Amino acid sequence: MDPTRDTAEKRDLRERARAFFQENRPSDPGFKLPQTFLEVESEAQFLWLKAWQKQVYGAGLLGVEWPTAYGGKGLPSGSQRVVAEEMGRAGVPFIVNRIGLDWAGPTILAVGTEEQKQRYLRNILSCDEVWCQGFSEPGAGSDLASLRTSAVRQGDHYIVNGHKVWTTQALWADFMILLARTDPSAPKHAGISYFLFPMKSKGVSVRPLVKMTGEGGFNQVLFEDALVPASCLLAGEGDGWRLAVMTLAFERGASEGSATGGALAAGGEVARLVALAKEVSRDGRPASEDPVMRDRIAELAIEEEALLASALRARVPGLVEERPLALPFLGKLVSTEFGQRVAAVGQELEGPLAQYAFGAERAAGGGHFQRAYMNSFGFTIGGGTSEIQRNLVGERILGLPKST
Amino acid sequence: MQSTARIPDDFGYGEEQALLRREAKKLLESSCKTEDVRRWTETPAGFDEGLWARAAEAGWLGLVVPAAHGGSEMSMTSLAVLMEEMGRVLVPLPFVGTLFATLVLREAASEDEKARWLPQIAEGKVRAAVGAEERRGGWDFAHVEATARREGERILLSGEKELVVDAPSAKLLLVTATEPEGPSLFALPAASPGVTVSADQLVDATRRSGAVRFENVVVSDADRIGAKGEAVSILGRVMPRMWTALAAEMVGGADRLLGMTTEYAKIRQQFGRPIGAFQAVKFPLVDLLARIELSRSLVYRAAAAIDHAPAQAEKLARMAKAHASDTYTFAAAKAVQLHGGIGFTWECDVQLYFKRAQWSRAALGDAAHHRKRIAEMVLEG
Repeated sequence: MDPTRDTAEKRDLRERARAFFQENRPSDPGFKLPQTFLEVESEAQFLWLKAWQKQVYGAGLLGVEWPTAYGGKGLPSGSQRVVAEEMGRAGVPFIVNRIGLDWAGPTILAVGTEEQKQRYLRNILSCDEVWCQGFSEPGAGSDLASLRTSAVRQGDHYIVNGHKVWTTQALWADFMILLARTDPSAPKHAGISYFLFPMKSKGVSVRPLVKMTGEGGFNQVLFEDALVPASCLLAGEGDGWRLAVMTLAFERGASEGSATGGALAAGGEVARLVALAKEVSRDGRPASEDPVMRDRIAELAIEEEALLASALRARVPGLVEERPLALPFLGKLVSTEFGQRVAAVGQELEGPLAQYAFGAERAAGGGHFQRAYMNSFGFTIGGGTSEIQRNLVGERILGLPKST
Repeated sequence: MQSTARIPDDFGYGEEQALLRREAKKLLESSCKTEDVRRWTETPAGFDEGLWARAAEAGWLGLVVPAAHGGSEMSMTSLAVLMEEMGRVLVPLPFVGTLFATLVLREAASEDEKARWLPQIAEGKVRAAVGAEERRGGWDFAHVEATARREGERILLSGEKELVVDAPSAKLLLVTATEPEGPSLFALPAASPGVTVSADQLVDATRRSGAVRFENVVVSDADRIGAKGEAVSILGRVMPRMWTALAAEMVGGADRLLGMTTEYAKIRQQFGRPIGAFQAVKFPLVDLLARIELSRSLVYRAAAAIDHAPAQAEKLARMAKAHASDTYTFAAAKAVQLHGGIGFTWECDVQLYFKRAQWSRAALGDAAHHRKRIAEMVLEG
């Protein structure tokens, strides 16, 4: 590949994205928008975000790395990140079908049949079909392989029974990537299968959960003799664990073909801290003049730059050859913990004003960091806790023995 | 031009750098083993002339010297590669001082001065050092009590510079002294009458530095590097390279500590298991890995900025030095702690790196010092 052409292509994409987001910045919908795709709680929010994604896709800015045959643009890896950076810069709302784009889609792209790829991928990009993920269960969080939801084959169908939890967007989703046990007698990793499950099936009920922020977004999903066609199985029966590991790798940012650009590309949080520091006071002077607060901000500015530099360095083979998988594996751990620290410092900056709840009339910066801090735990827990991530990195990257 | 300058996607890292890394690894792994380092650091000079000669032969001393003066003038990215590899093995050569002086000469010396010194530096015949810090300066190059007093055609330099890295083995010293226009830089052969260099006792045995005293040392206008009163600005232009180079060296050292400690954690058994199976040991190693990877990204990003987008260079280089300082300090602390009792002993190699980390953190500005400037750029910039 000619790197100079690559660069020109990306520059062109960046300009296109910048122009689009500048000219098509959505106006205030008149109701509160959620902070991330994890907090979509009302139908009004959902429909608004769905229309926004459709518009972004229509402008040719989503799925840019996916093959053209499935609605993508076939651009080189790293292209979607360019769009993500421009979205961050423009401060426009997020893309709602994240699970479809970053988790379900790449997995289907990797192992789906041609028919499945044609059937699902384009609708993920256009947001005509929204996806959720049915991995976690009440008794199986980070120990995913101990899941108990069952799928029993009966002719051309499977009968599903069980209980999933922390299911983001289940209330709105058309499909779920579902892990269920198809062989209870097999060793726990071997008896699991992976389904592309239609949420509107009979026997499926969704119950919203309320987080400590007071917001919804998470759900419990109950399956009572829910019937699903055997054609909804992805790859083979018993392949579920292998595919789940693949999906989790996409989720953790190991994906080069990520449709929204990956976790490490996040930026702009420190700029928010800076703005807040100028708005609030400590000891009767702007917090931005307080030496301790300045040091905290500088520390996070360095960290933010380091994350950005890492996302870029991960793509230079010569600079990662000693541990090619370290950066992808570390991505989720370091970016989510960074987000948590930023939110903590944000509240610290506010001083006494940190007592106000998010949305309170007198809250500084709208109380963004109060909510962000609470929500940050969703990221350090969800998708494999930071503790699990450390085990994973310690064992896979450093080659340390398994923890008991 | 500068407004459109951008850091290239490949960080300016290509086959040239890969080759340099391979060759540096090969040379250093064979000629600079830890037992050699220990042996050399116990001598007064602190290094081996044979290894210095091999470094010169390999072109390392000419790496930042322009081709017109006998060097290869490679990129900052290349220099970062070399420093990272040197840091891995704790190479005890008076390289940093010579590098610093070379950069200053290249930046500001007259063509005559360049022609006089740079070819000899590239060949390894002249070692050099920069004396720009004083007792009460605290990393501030503008704090210069040393004076340059004019007497007809002669200029008389008097003052004292502290902790001048690699001064004891340097033939050429570049020092700052104040003129009416402000601090200027002067080239001062170490053998000049009135110059005394005393060797410091450093926390890091693999480094040498010295206090440089000069009393009524006679120089001329031709010995001034750059214009009168320009020392602070010249040094300011050179520092992003020095910060990045030191940061790269620290990343190499921290990475070596991670490697040593990880291997130890796999072998050392306690309670019937390798200690690396315990999360209390595993987790800090993962945190160390994360910090090293982030530091390394900043180092190469800063290096690429220096080469291609100078407007971003100072901020990124300060970030690299600040981050790497914290990373190496953390690496050293964790390495000693996780090696347990043995890690606390003289015979364990960890202590050599531990002390290098202490030296590196305090050299050319620690993390807090750089964060102070970064805060200005982020909050006022």
